[in-house]
Amino acid sequence: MTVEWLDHTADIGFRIQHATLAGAFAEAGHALFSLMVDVSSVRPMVVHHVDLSAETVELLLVEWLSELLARKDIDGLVFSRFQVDVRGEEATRFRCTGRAWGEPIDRTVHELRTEVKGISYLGLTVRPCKKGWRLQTVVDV
Amino acid sequence: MRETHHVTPVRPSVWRVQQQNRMRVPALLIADRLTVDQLVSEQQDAVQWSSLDQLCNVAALPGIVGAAIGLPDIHPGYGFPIGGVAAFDAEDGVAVVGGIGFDINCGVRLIATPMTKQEVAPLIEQVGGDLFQAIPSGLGAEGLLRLDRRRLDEILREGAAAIVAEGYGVDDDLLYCEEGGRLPDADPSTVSDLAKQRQFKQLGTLGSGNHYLEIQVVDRLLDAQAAESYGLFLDQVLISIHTGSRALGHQIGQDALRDMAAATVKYGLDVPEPELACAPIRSTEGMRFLSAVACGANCALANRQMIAHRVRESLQRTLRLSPASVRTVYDVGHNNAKFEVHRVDGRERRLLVHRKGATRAFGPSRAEAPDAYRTVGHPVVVGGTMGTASYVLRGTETGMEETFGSGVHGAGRVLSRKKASKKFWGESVVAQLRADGVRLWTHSVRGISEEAPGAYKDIETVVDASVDAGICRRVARLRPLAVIKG
Repeated sequence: MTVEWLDHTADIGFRIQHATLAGAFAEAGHALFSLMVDVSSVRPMVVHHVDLSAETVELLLVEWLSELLARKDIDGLVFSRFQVDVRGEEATRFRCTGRAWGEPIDRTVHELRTEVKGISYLGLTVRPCKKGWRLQTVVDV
Repeated sequence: MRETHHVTPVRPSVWRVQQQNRMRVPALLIADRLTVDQLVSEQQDAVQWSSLDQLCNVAALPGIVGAAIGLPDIHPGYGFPIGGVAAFDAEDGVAVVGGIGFDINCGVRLIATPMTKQEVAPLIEQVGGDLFQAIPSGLGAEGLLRLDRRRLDEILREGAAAIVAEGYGVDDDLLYCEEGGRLPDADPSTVSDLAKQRQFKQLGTLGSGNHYLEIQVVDRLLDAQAAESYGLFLDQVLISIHTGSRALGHQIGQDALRDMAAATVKYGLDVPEPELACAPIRSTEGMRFLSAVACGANCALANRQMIAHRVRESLQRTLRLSPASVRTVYDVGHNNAKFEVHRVDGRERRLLVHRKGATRAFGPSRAEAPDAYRTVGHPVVVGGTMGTASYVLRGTETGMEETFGSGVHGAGRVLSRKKASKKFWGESVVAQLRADGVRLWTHSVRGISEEAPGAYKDIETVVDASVDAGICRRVARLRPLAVIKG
């Protein structure tokens, strides 16, 4: 797995390469939260289940990351471990099921970084590559 | 290979980008020569995201009127450049998601105290420290009021007025907010339940990143008449609150991207980039989007109103200031789209004006300004970096004619967050600021490296270009005494 951070003047993007699509999605979750907190300090105490679908795999990536952001605000959670399954069910329906583990934000324990506001469509990419799958997104901070 | 854009000078700090290919109108750049050269180089060097390309793509959108405008703090956004302005015919134009962004109605509330630097500086540790404790900021911060759906829907309809009605503020606060503190046509049913759930704990929170609360001092007065109208005096201590619509706005933006992407296809709209997803203003999707944006805008107004109330409480504790003595100078947004009437080619037209990282800067004698400011025009609050200065400007007739009454919103970034975090060390930035007489409180030292003053353009250059072009005039320069970051 490799994460490459992208230069965007106002915000930040990342590009991930992984042997599997599910692994790339999981690493995207990890990259997202590493922008907001020192992920190594987040214990996998609470589990959140996801079952999401979208018309394209790119939009599914946005749904996955957006769902994690929403849990941050609604439940006050940050996540450090992710396990997902991503599959195409029809030509225009892709599904992501899985789990994210984390714990409530604790300022005495977690090194805070910058809050992510949303997942843009700028440069949004999810495609096969020689080493498996490559995805890219720019997030708004 | 990228197309070449032909940029020609019109007059000092004003440049025209020739209409060509897909562009339906030309683009207008307000910038100094160095910035223009940098924009052209960036575009020709085919760096991944070019402000000039983005501006010219905006000029290709259906129903755009006049020109796509780039202001001196322009830098790449999501399809629509930050520091960009575009107006569309209210009947047959489009509403563009990227022209507003995720942080709907992010803006600045400027508050005036009756105190001077000489009185406050010796107490800055106490004053700043109390504000840092009083205003929730940073990741995971929760507001002091918990909302439910009923209460939040009221806020989405009524904006800052809902907060004042609950006793968190004074009626005069609303007089000195854009739109009287409340945008009309905000129907809470157009906002998703997910967006509302995300906001229940966030009323009155500052956020993080480039959001801040600054204790500032008026260190220069440059327009005596306007300064007097605004109630500003030399050495006066002011407070700026820079924040927006928080998680609700973020989710509205996220929902809109998905919905408007579908609408772009549904209505067969020819857009140069997927990020310029849009819908006809008069379509169901367009009207729904604009209603949700109005709700988000009202949420931002309410958020800044609540923070302003907490500021008053804090100053009462530390400086024994009565709430009545701490007044709102102005509250103005810089990420929004509003219906406005402008004169175009000699006739008045109703337009939807998108300002993305751009502040409304209406000239003198406009009805939208509070009565006390009408003669000179409303304040335009421009936040600089934490190490330098901010400005209070005012709009001009030239600005009304050429930029739909728009001005800059800040210094504008020059370094990506990735580059800034490599170049600047958070602790060093804090130490340097302290050496320069600026005290900083933050929950994220790493975030400070990304927000280092060196990551931004020089605010003086940005304001110089605005003034040179005649779209704004300087009223007062503000220097930071202390900064609170999330």
